[in-house]
Amino acid sequence: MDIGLKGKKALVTGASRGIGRGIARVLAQEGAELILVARDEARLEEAKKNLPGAGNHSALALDLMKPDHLQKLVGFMETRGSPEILVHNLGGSLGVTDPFASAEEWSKVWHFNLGIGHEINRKIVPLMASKKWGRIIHVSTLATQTHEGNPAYIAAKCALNGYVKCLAREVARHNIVVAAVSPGIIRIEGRYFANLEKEKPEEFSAYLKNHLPMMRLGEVGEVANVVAFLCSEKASFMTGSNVSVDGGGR
Amino acid sequence: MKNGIGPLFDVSDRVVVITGGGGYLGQAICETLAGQGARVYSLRRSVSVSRNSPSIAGLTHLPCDVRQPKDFAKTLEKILKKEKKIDTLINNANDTQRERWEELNLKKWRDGFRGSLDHYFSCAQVALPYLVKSGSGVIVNVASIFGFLAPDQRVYPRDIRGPTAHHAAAKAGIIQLTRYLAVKFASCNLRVNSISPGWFPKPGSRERPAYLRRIAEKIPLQRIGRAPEIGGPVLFLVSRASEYMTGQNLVVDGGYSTW
Repeated sequence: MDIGLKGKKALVTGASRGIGRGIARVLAQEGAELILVARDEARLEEAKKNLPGAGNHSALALDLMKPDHLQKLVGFMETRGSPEILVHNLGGSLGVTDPFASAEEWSKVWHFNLGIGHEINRKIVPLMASKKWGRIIHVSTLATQTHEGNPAYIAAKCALNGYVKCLAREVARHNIVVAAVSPGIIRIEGRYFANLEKEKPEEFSAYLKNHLPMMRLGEVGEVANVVAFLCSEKASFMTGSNVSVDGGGR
Repeated sequence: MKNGIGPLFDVSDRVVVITGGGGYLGQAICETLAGQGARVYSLRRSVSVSRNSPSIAGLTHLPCDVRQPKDFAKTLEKILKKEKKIDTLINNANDTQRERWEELNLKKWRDGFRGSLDHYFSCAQVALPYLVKSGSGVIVNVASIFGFLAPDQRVYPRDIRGPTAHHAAAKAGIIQLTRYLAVKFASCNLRVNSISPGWFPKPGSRERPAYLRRIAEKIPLQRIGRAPEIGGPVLFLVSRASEYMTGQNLVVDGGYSTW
């Protein structure tokens, strides 16, 4: 079934591993031509090499926290054909776990989770608007509902959720759909829950039983599929949505 | 499929029962699912109307008063005999009158509320053993944005009646029933989600163009919804593309509720 992504150009940030890599895989399977961005060049190249239609994709090893790298990406997109789809997948606490860390520390976290996406959007939206078609998907988190985790990170993602709603309103008249996806606990190799499953299976089972109605972790592909749906023609009337992919958990 | 392998919206192995499948949105849902290879059983009260519905491969219309659990149970047995399984229920039927607030009394309130909500419960209850037995059951409850948003009374001209109080209350009930069932039966790998359409007036209905234009101006995407735009999200919720989603309410309103 053609979901309308064939030949569409799509940016995926944080594309070398985890959810970003999964999103890249599903979009590539659906025929999109990707611009993949991540810091680790070797891992990014390896991710690209394993995608369907690898020759159609570009991989840029950039640290988007650095202004000149961000500028390089925007320049690339402006000169090499701007994407119709932006998938903003950067997220994390950058090690800022102290609730009373300085405002400067917090602003770094804010910039990583929202500011970079905004910088890209403000350059690319006018180009999308001229084509009268666009999709902007931000990866948020279930933690904006549970409020369990690092405060700076959660506050940044809550701001992101508000941003998505506001941006959706602002750009809807150009037929640009803006949406968020909020993953719950997803199995990502090397992360806490994937390790817990291997190292402490009883504790892991107890956690699932107590916290997740579906009694299992989500898979990367299950988040990626939802992102692909929101990028597709099938979600053409769903602007402003924030779709949770959490197995019913809180 | 969990890792994104395989067709994203494959429903070719699903046996779908949909209530109110002959209505404007119900028909679009049936056409979308049958078009993607699902075997779809559309239930509605009136057989004669069903006969007038277009013939689509994989789509069967059956007469059934879904407000009567016994009638619904008999119909499911008939479907089971033919298909050997039932794995998807789409609760979509709606039996409610649009009454002005001033015209409401307790009887009308009860009738309207029950007409919108009761059969969502009873159909789910009757269908549950089949859905659970299938090992990958799905329920999609069609709700409304007026289940979480109050209708803006200023947009309705005098001769057009907006959503009634009992309709809004029932739709809120559907959204919460969805969450309840999702958690209650998640361990059976039964997924329960709702979908909340915004403005999807039937083309050619008595709703006037000037009024519809006024509505469209309030929608960020600057237009009312088109029926296939409900079919797509329902297809998504039925398919494995959403297999880690349960208890969610998918809003399809052109951004109306972001205002």
